[in-house]
Amino acid sequence: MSRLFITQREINFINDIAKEVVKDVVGQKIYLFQISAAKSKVHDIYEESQDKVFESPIELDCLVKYNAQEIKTNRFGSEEYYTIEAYIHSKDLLDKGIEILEGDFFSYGSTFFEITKAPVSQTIFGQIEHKRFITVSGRQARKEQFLSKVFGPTSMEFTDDDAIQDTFVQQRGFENNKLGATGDVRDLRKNGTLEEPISGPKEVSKRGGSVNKGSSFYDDL
Amino acid sequence: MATFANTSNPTPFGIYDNDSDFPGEADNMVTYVKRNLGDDILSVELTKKQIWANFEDATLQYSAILNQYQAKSQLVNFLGYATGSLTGGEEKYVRENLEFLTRFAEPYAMEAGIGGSYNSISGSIQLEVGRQDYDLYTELVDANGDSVFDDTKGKLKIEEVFHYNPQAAYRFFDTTSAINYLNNEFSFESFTPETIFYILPVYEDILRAGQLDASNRVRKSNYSYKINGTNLRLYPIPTRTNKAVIRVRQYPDPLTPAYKDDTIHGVSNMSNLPFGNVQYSRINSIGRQWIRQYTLALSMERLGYIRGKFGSIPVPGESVTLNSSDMISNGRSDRDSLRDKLREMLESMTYDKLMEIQSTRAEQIQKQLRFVPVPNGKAIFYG
Repeated sequence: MSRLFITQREINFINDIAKEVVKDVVGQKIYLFQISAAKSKVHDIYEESQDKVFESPIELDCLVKYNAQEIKTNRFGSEEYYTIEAYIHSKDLLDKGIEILEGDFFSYGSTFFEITKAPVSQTIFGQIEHKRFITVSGRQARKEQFLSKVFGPTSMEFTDDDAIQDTFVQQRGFENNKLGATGDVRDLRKNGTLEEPISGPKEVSKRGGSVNKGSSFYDDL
Repeated sequence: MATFANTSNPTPFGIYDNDSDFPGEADNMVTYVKRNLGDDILSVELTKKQIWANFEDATLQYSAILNQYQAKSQLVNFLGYATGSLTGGEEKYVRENLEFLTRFAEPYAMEAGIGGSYNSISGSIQLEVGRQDYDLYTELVDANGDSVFDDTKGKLKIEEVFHYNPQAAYRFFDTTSAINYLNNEFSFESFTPETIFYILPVYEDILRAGQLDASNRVRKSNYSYKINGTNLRLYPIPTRTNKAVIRVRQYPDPLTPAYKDDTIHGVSNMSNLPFGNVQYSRINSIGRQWIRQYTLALSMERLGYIRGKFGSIPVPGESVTLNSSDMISNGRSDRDSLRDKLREMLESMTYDKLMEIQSTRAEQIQKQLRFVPVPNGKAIFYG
């Protein structure tokens, strides 16, 4: 679409809507484990690191395409094999200063994945400087390959405290919400086009118990 | 956070920016609109200035509709009134007058020769013995001998020809008396010695005078004229050289009557009625609630246009379609509905309608009173 109709203001609008859908409505997330180039010991000759050191995990808001597991059978028996695609908003990554590289790991539920590719998938209305999202393709990592604390939610089969997510808090462009720092930036607000919402981020949680609805979303806090 | 008061040019026209109540209401309006459109949960992509613009628009809309209906009731009293700065007449309960009606009656009075807004011109034609046709445009002259006809004012219209026209007075008393004819020949006038007086009501005299006048003109008189082009043809053929006085008038220029008339340049229709915008601080709770709802409807429609700029919005891996069309159609239908209801309400409150209502009410009261027993001693009973 022509640049006459898609100006920076429209780009901001599109980005903000995308962030709203991902962060304030859908609420899916992955945990990214980036390889620390500084901390990993790299072989002098091969320039590869046999024992990689990872940075602390980063929570990333995204839309996840969860593929059904594939059952692979070989001479050692059968194994469940997961692949996954996560779509991460490019501007959100830029705001947070995160660069996703092949070889990094991420978890979704109780499964860890190695990132096999992370290409920039599309531009916004063909404007090359405005990237739309990154498609992160992950291949299930073997346990000996990557092992970390599992961050919930995982599965209703488990009994861990965070196995089922019972709290979802919107971000709505606020620097912090009840769960901590968000890193969320809404460009229309940042550049003064729009003002802050008339009320803060809403949450879905058990705090809505005063009317016994099981969710604060339907109750005033 | 920006408030209405500390924002520069908060509204497009700034009409209500200094009103005592408007700024405070404007700040509340932002919350009202945004909350109704769901900003507590998801963003409403409207700026404060957009909402304030809608608020101003809604107030102006209310004011305009109100003034339209006020105009329906009051225009007739304002016609001809100085337009001034086109304000000052709004929100007033004006006194009635009959200027409109009397103005309409003026041309009839003019035709009857008893009033109107234009002067008649009298002139005379010098008759010549044996000559029957005279050119009005050249031979009709005033007392100074100058032509009466002004070629800038169009054709002449004859109002009355004072040819030799016997007065009714001396025939009034005895129309068949032979002496009248004698008096006539000698140019005597007034009553004759045979006159007998009766005491009669005045209208009798007036009616009789009219009857005689018509009789003289239609049945008895030979004195008449015809117009043929610019010529006046007199009947009978003049036998004397006296002057025939003729009262004429030319085209009545509606912008230039005989006297200085500023009302011509005054109020002529709704467009120049001196009705300014209604003051917001003088709008009561009924009106304010209408304005709030109208502002909300306008904001909903605007938000629909904003969200509808793109058919679908790209999000990671997907695209979403926003509720633009719902917003536009709902906002528009709310807006139209509010406007229709207001018009309907005001239509039932024009002064004409109020008179009808009052009249019906009076009739209903009369009906009800028929069933109320009259106290003893207050009525006369027969039987």
